[in-house]
Amino acid sequence: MLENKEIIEGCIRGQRAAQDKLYKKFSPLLFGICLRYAGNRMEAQDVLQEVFVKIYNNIGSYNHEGSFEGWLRRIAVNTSITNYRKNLKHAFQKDVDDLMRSQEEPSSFEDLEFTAEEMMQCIERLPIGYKTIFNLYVVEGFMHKEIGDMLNIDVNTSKSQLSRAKTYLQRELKNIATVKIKEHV
Amino acid sequence: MSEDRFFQQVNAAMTDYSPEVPASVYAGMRKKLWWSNFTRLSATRFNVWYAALIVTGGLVWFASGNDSTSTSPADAGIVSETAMGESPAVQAPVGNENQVPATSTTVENSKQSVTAKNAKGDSKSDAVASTDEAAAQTIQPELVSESTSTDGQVLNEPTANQSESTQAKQGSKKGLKVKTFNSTDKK
Repeated sequence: MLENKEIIEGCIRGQRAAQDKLYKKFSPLLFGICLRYAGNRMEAQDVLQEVFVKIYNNIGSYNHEGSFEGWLRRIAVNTSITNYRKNLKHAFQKDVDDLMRSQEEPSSFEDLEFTAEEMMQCIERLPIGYKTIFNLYVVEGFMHKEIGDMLNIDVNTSKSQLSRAKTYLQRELKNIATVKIKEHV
Repeated sequence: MSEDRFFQQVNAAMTDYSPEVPASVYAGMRKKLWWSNFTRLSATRFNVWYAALIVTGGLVWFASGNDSTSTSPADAGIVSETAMGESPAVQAPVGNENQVPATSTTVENSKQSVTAKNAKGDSKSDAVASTDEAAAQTIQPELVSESTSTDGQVLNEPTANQSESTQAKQGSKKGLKVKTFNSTDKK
């Protein structure tokens, strides 16, 4: 906490060393967030750059009341959503075949554990619209009403997109699990 | 797998997901940060607003510098008119080829009419004289008093007459209203 305070004060004064410390400490975490929302890695890198520019320019407005990490996460999520809105015309453009196949309910695989990398692989393959709603609901913990307001969509649209995203992810994870089981055998 | 369990599993895996950031991102971020600071209005550091101010100031200075060294023909005309009004004997450098020859007309004090000296009885000259009569009405007072100060004698000085003619034409063209005096007014 004390270290964070020093970093914040240094950044407010515009000290480059403090800015670099902040970048080294939080860039992997924020890059993870950007990756979850962006369409690809290049886009995620661009968003991460914008996130840090926003952080450095607005760090004076951080009031030390909530968690600093939470504040940074919020900036990353908001910037990602802004980026999503910019690219809205490309949203929900997943192959129809993929979506139709994903409607099938996968069989249960409750005992299997998946790493973050494996989950990330599956999330990256989601259409960007589904991905955004899934992340906002499951990882960030927003309600459907809030998601609807953020993305200018209906609550029911948010619910249906989430359901489809879940089905699609479960199916993809099952495929990964099948491969893993075969490798063990 | 129940919905809650699945979501919890994803949440636990994704919340602290921290992949390695490529090194090129830092350089790009620095560039974006520099540009952001450069385009932001700030009194404490040089930015695009200062640059715009400097460029604008430079352009204004350059433009005003050119204006002071060059004189437009219109300006030159105004200067010569003023000079003529103050001293009609001085020939102003007006390059007007269409003007009536100065020696052809004079202004007479008592009748305030224009007479043609060189072409008496010539209808063309009469026409010119009659047209110049109206122009002569607009000649500045100093000019009239100068040219008619010798008790009705007609002044035939070429320079003065030329000035009068030019002055009359320019005066009528510009629509200047100038009072004229005759001998009765003087009395």
